[in-house]
Amino acid sequence: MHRLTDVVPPGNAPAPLRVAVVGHTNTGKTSLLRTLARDASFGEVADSPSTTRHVEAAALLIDGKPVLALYDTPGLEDAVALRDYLERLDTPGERRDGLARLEQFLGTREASLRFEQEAKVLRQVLASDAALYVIDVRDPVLEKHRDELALLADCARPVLPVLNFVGAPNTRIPAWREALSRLALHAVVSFDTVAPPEDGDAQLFGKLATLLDAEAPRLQALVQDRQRHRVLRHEAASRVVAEMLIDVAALRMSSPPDDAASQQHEAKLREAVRSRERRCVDELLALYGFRAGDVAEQDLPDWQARLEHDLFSPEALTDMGVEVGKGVAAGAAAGAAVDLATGGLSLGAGTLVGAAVGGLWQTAERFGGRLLGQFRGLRELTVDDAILRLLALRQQWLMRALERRGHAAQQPLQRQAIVDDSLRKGPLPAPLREARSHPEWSTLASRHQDSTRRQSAITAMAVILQPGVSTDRENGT
Amino acid sequence: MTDAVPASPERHTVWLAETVRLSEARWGPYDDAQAVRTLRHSGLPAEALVRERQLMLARREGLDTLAKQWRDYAILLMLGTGVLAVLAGCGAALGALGDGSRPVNLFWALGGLLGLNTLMFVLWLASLLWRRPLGSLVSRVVIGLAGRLTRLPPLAAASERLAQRPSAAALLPHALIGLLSRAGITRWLAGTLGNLWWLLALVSALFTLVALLSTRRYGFVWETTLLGPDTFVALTQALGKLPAALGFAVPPPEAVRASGGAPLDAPIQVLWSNWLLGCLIVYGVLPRLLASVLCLAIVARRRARVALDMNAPAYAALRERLSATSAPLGVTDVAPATLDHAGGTASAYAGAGHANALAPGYAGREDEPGAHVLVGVELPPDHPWPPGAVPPSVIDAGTLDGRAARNALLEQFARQTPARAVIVCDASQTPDRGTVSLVVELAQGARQAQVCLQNLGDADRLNAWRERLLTLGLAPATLDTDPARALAWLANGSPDGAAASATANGA
Repeated sequence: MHRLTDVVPPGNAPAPLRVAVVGHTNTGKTSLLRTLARDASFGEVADSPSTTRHVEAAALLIDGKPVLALYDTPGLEDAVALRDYLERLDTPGERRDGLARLEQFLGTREASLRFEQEAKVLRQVLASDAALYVIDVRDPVLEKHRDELALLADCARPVLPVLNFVGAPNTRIPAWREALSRLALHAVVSFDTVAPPEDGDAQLFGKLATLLDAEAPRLQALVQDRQRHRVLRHEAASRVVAEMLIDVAALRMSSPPDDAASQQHEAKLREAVRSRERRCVDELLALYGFRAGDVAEQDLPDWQARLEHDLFSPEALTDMGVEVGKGVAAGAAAGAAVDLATGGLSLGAGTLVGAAVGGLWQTAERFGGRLLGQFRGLRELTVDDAILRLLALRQQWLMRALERRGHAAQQPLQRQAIVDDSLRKGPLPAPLREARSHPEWSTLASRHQDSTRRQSAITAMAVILQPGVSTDRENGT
Repeated sequence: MTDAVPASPERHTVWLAETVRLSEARWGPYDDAQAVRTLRHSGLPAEALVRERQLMLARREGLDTLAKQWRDYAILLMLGTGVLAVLAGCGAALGALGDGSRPVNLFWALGGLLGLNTLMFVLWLASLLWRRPLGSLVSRVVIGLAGRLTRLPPLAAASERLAQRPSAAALLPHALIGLLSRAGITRWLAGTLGNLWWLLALVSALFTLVALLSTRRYGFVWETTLLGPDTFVALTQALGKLPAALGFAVPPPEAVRASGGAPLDAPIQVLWSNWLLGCLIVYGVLPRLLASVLCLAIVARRRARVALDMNAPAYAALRERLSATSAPLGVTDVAPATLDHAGGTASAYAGAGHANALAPGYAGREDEPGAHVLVGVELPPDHPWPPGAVPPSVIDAGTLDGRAARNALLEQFARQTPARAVIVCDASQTPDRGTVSLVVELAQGARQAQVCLQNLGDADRLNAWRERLLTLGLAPATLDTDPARALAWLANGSPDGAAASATANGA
């Protein structure tokens, strides 16, 4: 997401919609902007009054073009005294509407002295197309809030109240809804910047579209674009996790038979898995626009490596058969060519020889090292099934948590246990089993080789991971 | 609020008041609700009220320190020019007489001593006859100089504090010139300064002359190519008439005729010296002295005219506002105030006239001296009010929410200062500027006050409350967190005569 100080669209694209985010001090305006703009480094957030003192803008883009510019403003702190002062500006006998009085106020001296913050906010609202009035629903409804809304009403711009912190324990939502109704503000949005609802921003933009119905198409386009991005992110995240799982499943480390060396290699294996998981976590954080400090570190429990005995596992054999078959076919083809060249005098010997050589070649290439290792008595250490499942569950939890986390959240995520029966109890997913017999698929191995089969395995694994995340969403957790 | 206003020189008051008026005319009215409230109940006459209000605002804006700085700079400037005058006079005298190695050309010497002075004097006299006030020229010069002065580092630093805000300091010279020209003393003031300067220069020339003539041997001659000796005799006689009347000895005609060549011997030189000194005094010092005295007299007499023009519309409006007996809040329809003590919702509707916006707890007790008042500021309506049992000696002023209730209570405090006040605030809300300044104003409006913070849930917000209250000047000892203790303090020491023992330590 872009941060633009003056939002100028390229070429002759229409100017972006300008929306000012206003409200009483310390109600979460900057947090709302962070959440909507998906930018955790926007502005400054602290639980104290007057944190924001300037007007800062962020633009929401569709295909790189700014569509909506959100302006973060300092909080309104002294609306009561300001309304008193505005009344004094009226000369007796002259009736003016609120907007004219506000414009006169903005030219007076007190607008740059005592009411400097309020003047900034009002100037921004007057320069925008609409205003979002953010309310902390834990606060009681007081006269000063009504005074603030009266000032905003004077600005002659549509105002959409946003009820923030609706998820907190001690809220006064009914009182606020009633107070807003009495002020003829019936379109209200519920939000919570700590744990934003899934479609929170869709709701917000939708209600904004009803207030600014001339701009409804653009806002609808924005909502759809954000949904599209959400889906793309989800798919990309699944791929990241799938790749990590394939890498770990395929990882194989051979060690000499004695225990001391074996333990050393086991430690190296654990370290490799740990760093691979960390890399996956970093990639996920970057994908969702978060930073390293947003997840509390928690390493895998210590585990024992598994000794790979099944050089000749069914999959391995099938695989070997396929590969050898390929080699045989290729060899046979070459031999057949030689046969033809000799005019059939070799009586098909060339084909046979070619097939044999081809097959052996493939075997030696693929399995030679391992066979040799087996003969030498080397052990092969791999990652246990349980660890693979655990990794999958952990990353699934992380994906879910990151999708739901707002960019204004301050506390890091703490890992929790999750339940996914299919991953926990059923057999190991097919792509992972396949990966076990392809040690060259692991990027952590020294002889890494990418192939289309590897990519298709990753895709298949990603598909398996996805339903686990979406069912949870349907359950509403 | 302080009752005593520190005294300031009369001229400064009027100057500062004018500056504030000009600034309000240009940039909109100041926010003076607090000042107005204090003044309305102070009992001064209308003009003094207006002056006091302007002074308070000027002090708030830091204009009085600036004005004093300007005055100090002006005095320094004058001293500097005085030194210049003395040096100029000495230089003129030295130049006129030379070092005595050559004979002194009499009329050159006289011309050098008196020529420029006489020319300027004649010009000044001519300017007096000029009908059109020269104030505009003077003011342009002064304002240009003032503008350059404000860029000097100390003054620039002073106005840096007001940077990015329209600086009323720039209006100080305008205000001064406006005042002076309205009183009609600009020209005479300028005349005083000019004449005094020349007087100083001439007197120092005189003294230098006397010193030189006493210590060196000079020979006075007159020289000419075109004119004859008779001209000089006539000239000497004419010029010497007045000095002779004052007692200076002048040379006789034969001596004059004889001085056309080489310098004569000593007695004639003495006569010539006398003549020279006499001319200097009579045609230089005396006119300037008389002119200075005249100008000073006129300035002194017209000094009283430098005052605020109370008929100016701004002052007239202020006068009305300050001596009004009620505060108009913009609505004439009175809405009933509903207060419900049991269960704790207290509200006052916005827009009522001030008397009715006071809580019913005040009914009939508005004029009670030394009251003990309990008041809550913006407490949530669903919390119980009052926070404990309220004894009958204590006035329960309810919860303040909204302009009408606030202003009504502040008016009441200004009219009848309570002896003790306990102000209860909700510490779980964010302390904003308006609320904090209201709490501090209430606390400072009572003789003794305690601010009690309730609902301590959030440590961050409690600290924010403390910090903001202390920054605005609340004494730390008045901050408390125990409503029961505060109520006990309020109940004790009431006029019933209960012994005021220190129950503040009690639970």
